[in-house]
Amino acid sequence: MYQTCRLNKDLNVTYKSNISTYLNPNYIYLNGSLIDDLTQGSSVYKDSIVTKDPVCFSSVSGSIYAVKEKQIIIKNDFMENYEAPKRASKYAKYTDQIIFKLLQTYHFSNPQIIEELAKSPHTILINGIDDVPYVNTRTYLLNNLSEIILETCEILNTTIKPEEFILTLKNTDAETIAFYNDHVGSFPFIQYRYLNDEYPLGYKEILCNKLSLEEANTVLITIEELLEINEIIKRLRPLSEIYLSIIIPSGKSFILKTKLYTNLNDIITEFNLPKDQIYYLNNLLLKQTIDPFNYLIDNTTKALYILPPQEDKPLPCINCGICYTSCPFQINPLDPEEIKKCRRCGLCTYNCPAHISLGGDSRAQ
Amino acid sequence: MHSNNSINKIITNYTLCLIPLILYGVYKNGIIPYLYYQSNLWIILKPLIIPIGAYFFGYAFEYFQHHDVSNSFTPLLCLISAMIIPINTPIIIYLICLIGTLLLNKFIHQPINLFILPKIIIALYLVLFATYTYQNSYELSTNLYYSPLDLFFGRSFGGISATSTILCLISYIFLFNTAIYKKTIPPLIIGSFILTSLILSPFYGFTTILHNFLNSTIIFSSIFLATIPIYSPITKQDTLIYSLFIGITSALLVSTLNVYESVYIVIFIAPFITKIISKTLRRYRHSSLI
Repeated sequence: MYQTCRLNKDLNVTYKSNISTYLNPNYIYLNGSLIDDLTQGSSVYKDSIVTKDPVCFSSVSGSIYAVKEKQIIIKNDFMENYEAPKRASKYAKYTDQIIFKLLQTYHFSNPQIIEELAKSPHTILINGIDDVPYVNTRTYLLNNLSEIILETCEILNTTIKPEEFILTLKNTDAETIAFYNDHVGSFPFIQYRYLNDEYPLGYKEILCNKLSLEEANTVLITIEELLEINEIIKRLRPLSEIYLSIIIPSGKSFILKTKLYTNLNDIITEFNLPKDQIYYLNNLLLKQTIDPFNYLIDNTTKALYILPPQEDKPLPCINCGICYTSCPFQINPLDPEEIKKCRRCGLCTYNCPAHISLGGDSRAQ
Repeated sequence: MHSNNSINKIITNYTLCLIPLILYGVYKNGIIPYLYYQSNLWIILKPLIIPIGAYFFGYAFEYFQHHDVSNSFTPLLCLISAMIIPINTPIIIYLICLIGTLLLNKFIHQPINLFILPKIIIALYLVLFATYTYQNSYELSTNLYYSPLDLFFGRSFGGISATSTILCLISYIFLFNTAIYKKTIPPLIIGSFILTSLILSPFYGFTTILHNFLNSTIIFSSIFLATIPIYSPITKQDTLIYSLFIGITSALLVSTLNVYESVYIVIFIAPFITKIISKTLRRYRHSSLI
């Protein structure tokens, strides 16, 4: 049994009602080494492969501006030129094999999902819940891109043919629940499950446990991954734009749609974000700070918290064991052997009365 | 972003739970003998001054050392150490023991609860000078026959402020809701103590076993001393070893020594023994895996 908990959300976070975009960076920065066909000055198409180790697609069209050790800078020509205009027919006949092939070709960000889908799973579970504190990306995507989401669900359902197709929603998102309830008739295969606003729900084992599903026979796909699947199978192009929550308690937080490999510094300048504050990455519980002037947005970037500097001086450990008892995976963060299995949910740090950064945090830093 | 858990909160909760016990100690070891003898006021003040004095002594010691007293267990441990000593303890001897413990605690970084040492030393001192008793002056001069219910409410002999079983149990219910409190330890200790005692009852008699249980020493020590976070284990396996060791060994030792000291001696050595057993088990499991 995995235990979840309600978090103390004492920050006053309100979101702007629409999605902000930053899709025209002057430069993008790809970490990796240049592929053999390209040199400095070469032209690159949007969505063409530019680097190897790791393979990175260019999210803009333009020219290779500079080649540094393990970093390639591409100057945007703002033309959005593709190698050949490609778009799958709206009525294309998808088969599971075609989908797997496309996902592999376009380097789908979570290859494990391809493997799991290939095993004809009993359940496809779409996670529409933002369990990470103050993050609101999935709720926004569910509300604003519902057509694409439901269409992709239908494609997956007709090709993979799972016994169950479940979409989880937070039971506090009244607007989202009402909207999707209206579409029950059009997409009858989708079962909606409503869960409490608890943490952590983003882990497959925990979510399966909450929904009484067999973990081995379930494929967990997040809303962001579902949109990436749509991008690949419908538009035949890799992921080039991502959505992330920018959380500013002192001001208006917003959901940002931006190009991959954009420098955060450009976003700070564009949106006039505070420069004298601390930038935390992805999950505030992990307290993982980044240098905002030297950070590249990639597909692991999910959220950015911009908070004033806080003096959180840790006290000596009192051996109370709450880090162990509160861990949903029953890992003892004080055991150097067990810490290797840490899943980085951050609950140990959140609960520690001595304010010590435990578990995954120390590894993250 | 942080939960409401804080070190200060657990220390405050422990201290709040101890206040009714101190007040009951004042009633039992102060007011009752005073009313009986109609003698000087010191009889009333002694069971109040010793625990409170110990608390502030620990507070001052910690303040001069680290300045951050709100997150230190030292004053609380000093308070508990004073609550478990006999009422006829010479204050100066206790003070010397407490200073020694505080100094020793500064240098020894092992998980052993040194604050039990004053009690053990004082017991030895009292034995040496033939004044060893846990009864107050009133109890010494009167023939008393207490029912199990009297013992349950706190009329049993014991430390200055550690005799009321019912107050200990109420405190446990209160502490149970504190996130940091190691709530599984007391029932495991008490359960294993009772079970071992029942097994031994044909040899020692059921009345002795009942007295040992209602005496409140095992209940007080398991709720307040054995659960102190710094000295108690955290994993499920270690907690089980620790609690069973305390419960079973105490029940065995009670019959040879006495109930007033044996439990505390076992709690004193339990963290060490748990560490050894846990290490041995881990090594055994590791070798069996290979």
